[in-house]
Parts: sequence; C-alpha cells; structure tokens
Amino acid sequence: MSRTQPTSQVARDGNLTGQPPESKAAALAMQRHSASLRRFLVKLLNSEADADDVLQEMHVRLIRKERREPVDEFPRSYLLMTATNIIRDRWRRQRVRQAGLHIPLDQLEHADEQPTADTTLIWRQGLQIVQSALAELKPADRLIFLLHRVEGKTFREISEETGIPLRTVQRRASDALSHCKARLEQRKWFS
Amino acid sequence: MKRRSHPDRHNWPNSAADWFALNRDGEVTEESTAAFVAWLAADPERQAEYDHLEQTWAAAGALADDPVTALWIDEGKSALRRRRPQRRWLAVAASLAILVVAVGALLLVLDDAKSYVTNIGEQRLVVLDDGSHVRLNTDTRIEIAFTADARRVRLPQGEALFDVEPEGRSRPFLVETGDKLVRVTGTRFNVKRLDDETIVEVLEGTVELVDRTDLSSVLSQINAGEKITVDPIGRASDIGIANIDRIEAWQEGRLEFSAASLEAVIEEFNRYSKTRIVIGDPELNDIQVSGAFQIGRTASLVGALEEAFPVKAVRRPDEFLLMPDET
Repeated sequence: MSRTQPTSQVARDGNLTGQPPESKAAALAMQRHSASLRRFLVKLLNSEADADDVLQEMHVRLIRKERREPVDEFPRSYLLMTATNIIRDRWRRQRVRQAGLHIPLDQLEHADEQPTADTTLIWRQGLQIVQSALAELKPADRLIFLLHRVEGKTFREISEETGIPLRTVQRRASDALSHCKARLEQRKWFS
Repeated sequence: MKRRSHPDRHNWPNSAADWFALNRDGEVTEESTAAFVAWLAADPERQAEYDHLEQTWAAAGALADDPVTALWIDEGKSALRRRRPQRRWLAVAASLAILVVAVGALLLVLDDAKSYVTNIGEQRLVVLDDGSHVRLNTDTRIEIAFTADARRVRLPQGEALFDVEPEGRSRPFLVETGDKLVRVTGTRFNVKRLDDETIVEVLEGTVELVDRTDLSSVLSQINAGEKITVDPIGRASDIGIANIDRIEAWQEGRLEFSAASLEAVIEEFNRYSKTRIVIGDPELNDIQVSGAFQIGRTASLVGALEEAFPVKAVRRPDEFLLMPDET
C-alpha cells in the first residue's frame, strides 16, 4: 500500500524528474487548497481531528483517481465533493455498525470507482431495470435524462439544445433518476 | 469568502434527488457543501436515499454502451422536432413504444416472476403452469409472470421456442422481449433476441403485434411460415419468410447451413460453445459453407473446415484461431 500513501513532499514546478507523474495534480491541489479546506472542515465537522482525517483520506483518493486517469487539475468543487463523499462514507460505516448489519465492501465505494468483476452481473441487472424504467417515460423526458447521463451535457446545454426551459429540464432529469431508483428499490436491487 | 454568483444561495434543495442534481450539475461551493452536509446530517434516511440515487446513476452509466440508447436519443429528438407523427409508420412505432411501456410496468410489479436461464451450450425445456412448453436455446434468459388475467413472458436474452396452450382473449399470452410485445393465441413460434433487434418466426398458428391501449387493435399479424423483425423502439419490419429448417434443427441439436458465409457459420456456432472459433484473417470471412453440424462439437467443425478448405486451425486456450493454409 506504500504507493497510495499521501506524500508530504510537494512536486516543484518544472522539475518533476524522479517524481511519480501521477501524483502531480493531487499534490498541487493539496498544496493550493488544504489550508482553506481545513478551516472549512474544522468549522463544518466541529473537530480538528476529524478535519485532518478527511483531508488525509482526500489526498489518498486524489492520488488514486489520478493514477486511474490523467488529471490536469483538480478543481476546488471536486475537492469539496470528495470531502462530502468521505464524510458520507464515515456516516455510512456508523449506520452499519449501529444497525449491526454487514454490507459488502464494494458497496462502500463511490460512483467514480470501477465495479469489480464480481459485481458485473449485479450491474448488468441494474442496467436492465433502469432500461425498463426509462421505457416507461415519455420520449422527450427520456431524452433529457440520456443527454445528461450518457452525453454528459449540463442542464443549461440541454435546455439550449431542446428549447425546453431550464427549470423543466432540471425537474425532468431529477424525476427520471428518481423513477429509476424507485424501480430498482422495487426489484430489491439495493441489498 | 463572498460569493454572490449563486442566485439560490439561501434556497437550498429539500430532497435527495434535487441535491443530487445540484451536486452533479450546479456549482459546488463551500456554501452548498455546508448546506448539503447539514441537510444529510439531519436524517440517516436521507443519507441512504442519496446513496441509492448515486448507485442508480452508476448503473445508468452502462447505458452508454447499449444500442438501445442511441435509438432512444434519436427517438426523443424526433419527438421534439415534430409534435405529431407525420407518417403512418411513425404512428405505429409510437404506439408500439407505448405498449412496451405498459408491459414493462406490469412485469415490474410482479415480484414473484419466475426466471429460467441456460448457460452457453445448454438447452432446456420448461413446462409452464398453464401447460405451455418453452424450449430455451443456448445462453438464454426468460422471465415468467402468470396472473389471473394474463400470462406474461419476458426474453431479455437468447432464443426460445414457444408452444402455447390456447386460453383465448380472456387470458392472453404476451411475450415481451426487451421493448417489444407479441400476443399469442395458441401457436408455435420462435423468438430470437439479438443485440439490436428481435426476430419472431411463426411455425404454427398466428402471432399478433398489439397496442396496449386496445388489445384488439392488431398492428401486424404474423402467420405460419412468416417472420417479423422488430427494433428496440418497436418499429417493425415487413413480413418475411421464417427459417423453419434452422429452428427445427436447433431443437435437435443440429446447425444447418446452406451456402452460408464462414463468418456467419462461426458466429452461429460460437453461440453454443465456450471454446470459440476465431477467424484470424478477414480473407476467410466469405468462404461459402454448407452442411449440418452437431451443436457444441467445435473440434469436429474445425476438422471439417480444415479438410474442405485451405485453412488451418491454431489451438489456443479457449479458442481455435483459423488462418489461411499457406502450404
């Protein structure tokens, strides 16, 4: 696991020889944002120790992310989402412990993680249920969701492309996802 | 840090779905993050619901690789372009799409649907509660949901031959294959699900494509000896001629080819075997092959090919690689 350890050594601009290339953006992001993020997290979590834990875990995740795919720069909004995900993971573990439940490890991973080979079948079943759910929507509503999810378009871009008001686009996309989720729940896909 | 750019900064979402949309599409700021974390912290059920939305989003990611998605996008765009369908076939396509919706919904609420599967190279006969027979071909999945007023069957994958006991209009036998539906009134017919289309071939009796709003309005009727091909959004081809010989042959564990391209023969043969045959040189694709072969007997097909054509097979783990024989 030594490769995933956060490094306190920060890459120097213009001289990256000997530095693992994959940690460049992660290191820069931590250098640039960690002080202000720490202030934010201390206030949010009301605990210096928790804030430091989240920051350290964030560094690990950024390095892991950068190793999977090249990253030019981690925007601040990405760091904030990562912090939120880490906080949610901690809460989830608490919930599981309190309920005395066991959940498989792969469920603790977030959407930016790739599903493992073992879970492929589950994801294929999920896709089928999602397709059936989408088949129940009107073609235009389905289109909004697909442009957003598959083509990666923002709500504003979709609104401009289709002539549908921005508010309506947001509502329809949100409803479509909720509908798929309801069908997955009905079919007990979430274990 | 003063940020006034967000117009709704004091009007944060109050549902998991709206938060999810904002986090994906809106500008994530310290203010929004603080509001989101506070909203989540108030109730563990909100956290669980948000997790489900996230996993739903992840599951939907695979839509990108599915051929249905591109068709849906086209369909949605043309639905926006024209308010009303201008041609008759468009009207038919639209009503079929609607019909699919109804059946999909009905099936989804039946949690007690039974499913049967076959693995590669396996065939299986299933006798249903009403006495109907279904023979599943290789690598097939079928879901059965019987209620007092309808018998519903779904074929998301593979091929099956149905032999249906008639029960009349009071309890129709409905087959949905992904997005399509056929109604049957006591008959023998074969359904083959491919990636981008479904082929329905009728051996005995009659099969109908019907509209959900009115089960008595028949969009297409397919008689014995005929076939129809339906694409994922419900557009149907013209009626063609069923390949009865091929269907009877697979029932008996045989594959029959008459002047078929080697490419087509290999593709069909590979459906039945985990040991695949791979054509290593596109030059070989168009070799014409005729003959009857035993399903799953990959080595004997390879031997026959080597004997009859200038090809040689290289044995590799899990596959035979066919190359032109230079000698």
